[in-house]
Amino acid sequence: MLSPRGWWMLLLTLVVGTIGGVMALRGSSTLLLVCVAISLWYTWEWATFCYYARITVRGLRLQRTVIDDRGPVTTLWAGQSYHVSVRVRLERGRLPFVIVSDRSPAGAVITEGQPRYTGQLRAEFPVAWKYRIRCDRIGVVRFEGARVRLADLQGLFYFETFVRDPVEYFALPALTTLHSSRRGDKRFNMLPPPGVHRFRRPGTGSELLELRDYRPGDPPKRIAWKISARKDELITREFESEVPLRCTLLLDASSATRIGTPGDTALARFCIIAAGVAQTAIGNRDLVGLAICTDDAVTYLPPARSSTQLIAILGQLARAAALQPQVATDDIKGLIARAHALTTDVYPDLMSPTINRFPLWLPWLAPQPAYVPRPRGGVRRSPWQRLRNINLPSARRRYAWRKRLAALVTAKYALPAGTLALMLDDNAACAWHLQRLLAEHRVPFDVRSDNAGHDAIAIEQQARALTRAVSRGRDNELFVLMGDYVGRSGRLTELLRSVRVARAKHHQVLVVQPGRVADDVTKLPDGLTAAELVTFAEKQQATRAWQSTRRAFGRLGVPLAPADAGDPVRLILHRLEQLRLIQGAGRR
Amino acid sequence: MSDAPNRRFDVWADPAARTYLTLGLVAALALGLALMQHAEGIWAVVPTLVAITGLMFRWLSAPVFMLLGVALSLLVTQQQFHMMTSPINDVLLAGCVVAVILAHFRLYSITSSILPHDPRRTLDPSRPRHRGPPVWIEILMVLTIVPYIVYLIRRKRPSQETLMKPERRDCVLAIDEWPAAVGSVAICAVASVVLWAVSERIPPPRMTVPEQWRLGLMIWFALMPVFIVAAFVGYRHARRRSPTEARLLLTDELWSETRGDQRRIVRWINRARLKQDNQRLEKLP
Repeated sequence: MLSPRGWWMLLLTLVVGTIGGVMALRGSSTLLLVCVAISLWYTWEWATFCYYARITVRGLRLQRTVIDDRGPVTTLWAGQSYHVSVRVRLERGRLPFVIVSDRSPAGAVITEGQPRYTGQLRAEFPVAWKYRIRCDRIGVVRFEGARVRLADLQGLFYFETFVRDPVEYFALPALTTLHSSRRGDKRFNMLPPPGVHRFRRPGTGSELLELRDYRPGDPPKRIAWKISARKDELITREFESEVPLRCTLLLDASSATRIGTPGDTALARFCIIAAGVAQTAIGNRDLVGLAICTDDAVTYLPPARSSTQLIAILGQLARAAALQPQVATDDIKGLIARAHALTTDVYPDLMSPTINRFPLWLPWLAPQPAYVPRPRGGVRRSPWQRLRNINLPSARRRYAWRKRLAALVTAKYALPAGTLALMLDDNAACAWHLQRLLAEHRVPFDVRSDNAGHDAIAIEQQARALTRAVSRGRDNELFVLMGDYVGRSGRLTELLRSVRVARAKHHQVLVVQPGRVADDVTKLPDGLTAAELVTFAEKQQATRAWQSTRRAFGRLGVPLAPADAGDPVRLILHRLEQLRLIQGAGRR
Repeated sequence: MSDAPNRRFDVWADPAARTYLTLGLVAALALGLALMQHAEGIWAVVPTLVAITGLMFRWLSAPVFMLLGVALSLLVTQQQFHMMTSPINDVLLAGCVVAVILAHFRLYSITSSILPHDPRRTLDPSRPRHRGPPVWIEILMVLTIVPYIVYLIRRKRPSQETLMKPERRDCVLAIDEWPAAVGSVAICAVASVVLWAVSERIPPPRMTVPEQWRLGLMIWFALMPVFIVAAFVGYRHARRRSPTEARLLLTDELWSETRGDQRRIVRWINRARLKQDNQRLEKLP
């Protein structure tokens, strides 16, 4: 609570007070009285500041509104700018000097204005300020709250806390492809395939089927007036039936697809593709369904073509795009550093040494076991190295951070009390809980894992979702599988079985795979260095994996499209049009 | 105590700054007059000059040297003359010292910074991190190793470019704060003399030197408010603790009480897990 200025003053007062005490014993009390006066004043200032910092500041209330040109909004669109209006109110009392800074939102950038207020705060006068943000990517924009810094008017005391007011807004994919990809022309004028007879059926489409005599009850707008006038009797136009197509998008949202920079992950790419397909297909009055397969659950939206369905799909995609990896790993060094930086900022009250203690003697009396500081499979450390690690300031600091984070996570998520000890001694458990904490606060982090994201489970989930969608399908449909299947040929059995079922029911299946088609590298050039050889081997391995996956799906007549090359949205829509042709021809 | 003051700040244009500068100058002059009752010549002038210079040039360390100067002058004159002073003069001297400190720090808060440096580094988009070969200035610094070492030592201190800048207070200090400040200074000065007088009236226990007893009483008088305030604020703070804070406190307490037992259980669990992992690895081809 004491600032450097305050420490200097306290130290000086004690030194001069000691001199004054010695002088008072010799009969001159003036200096002692000066020091007593200073200490009384200092105590008064400290008491007032303590009251402000410990009691008054708890009455700070934050209200945040995100506004666009038309008013407050509850969901955002990627690529758009918004005003954020923050209003701070004090329940009672006053704060003589305070800096309230709204924490920069995760998933958006501040483009204009300062998200802070500096000055006095009184209960009767709430303060408000505005700034502008821009959402760069789809997902979730999370506002944590405001950082509050207090100081007394002399700058002798300083206190920092955080008013938590977490709010999340979905940043939906931008509606950019809707008009450019919408079907503008009429139906294809093609001959039906040989052997297929036309079966005309009246409906509510746009193509003229035939003209017939008027029957009572026919809507007047369907009367062909010119022809009726010519024939002198009422003639009614009859239109062809629409051929509604159903497209179900199955996304693999397992942890393996979430690894990477936020907004640039394979999952985010899938979500953008799926959003483009959904917007265009619903714009064409086709039915679109969605299944998002995570490691432990499947979120399923049955096909529909209403605007509510589109919003629901975009919302689900935004939620999926914001997912962060949760993998089993022993590498917690980076996670601890990130989590500590976050919690120091957002949970200063829970990280305070007054309630979250770390005894200084703990590293000596209860050092972490040998298997904790090293990753699994690492080299065992010698006793000397262990002793050195115990005394290293950086190791001690990491141990303290870890203990405080463990206590915070245990209390925040109301976990069993033994979790604290578990997180201290078990790297995997610690990494798991820290990932959960970071993911909740939308803090990006890097993780390395051998079996990133239980990929087998995720593929099984996707296979189950596909089987379910096929079982509920009514007509020939298009199923788009989006997932990372390259290099997992051995685990695709279940999925391939489901694809086979779909194909047997004459459905179309398309697979979208993240990345690009690997170049075909077969010939080893001469004169390569070791690093180039490794790169070459990796390329060759990627090529083989891609070809193997393509073969596995190709045997079932399922094409494999790269997500990062070409235009997968147009490819899917093209498939949809082909299906429309086939289906329309089959009905005639 | 090395924050660079903002010398371009126009003190006379800001009402609050003007008030505190005036208050500080008046208190410094009164300090000189009060010191003249104790000391003569340079010993009375030096603390006053230090205080005035510090106020005029916003020298942050001025109160430290001013107080040391007062202590030195009183120490020297006591050894020379063994003078006894009146309580009014003590009140004036104590009040002036506190007033100068108060005015000086408040003036500094207005003109320069009120908050300490933020140790967290911030991203500066105008100065992207340099990648690639070293630039000529880095090569020059490496070549001239002594300035480079100086540069490294200086770099450990938070600089204005790499750290968040301290908040400047542009007229945010309310002008109506100064009467309360002067009142608190006067009360503290009077209270110190009153307490000294009260301590004389409390008889010392047997076998206790009266001067030591009085000194002990004064120390107790100075520390007692700290204990009372700490207890009161701590109690109120504990009463307003959030459920998460309370849970954290209890979890921490439970862990510190049963740390050994918990750790033993976790180690057995870990041992079993590692054993399972090893068995799984052995089964792999």
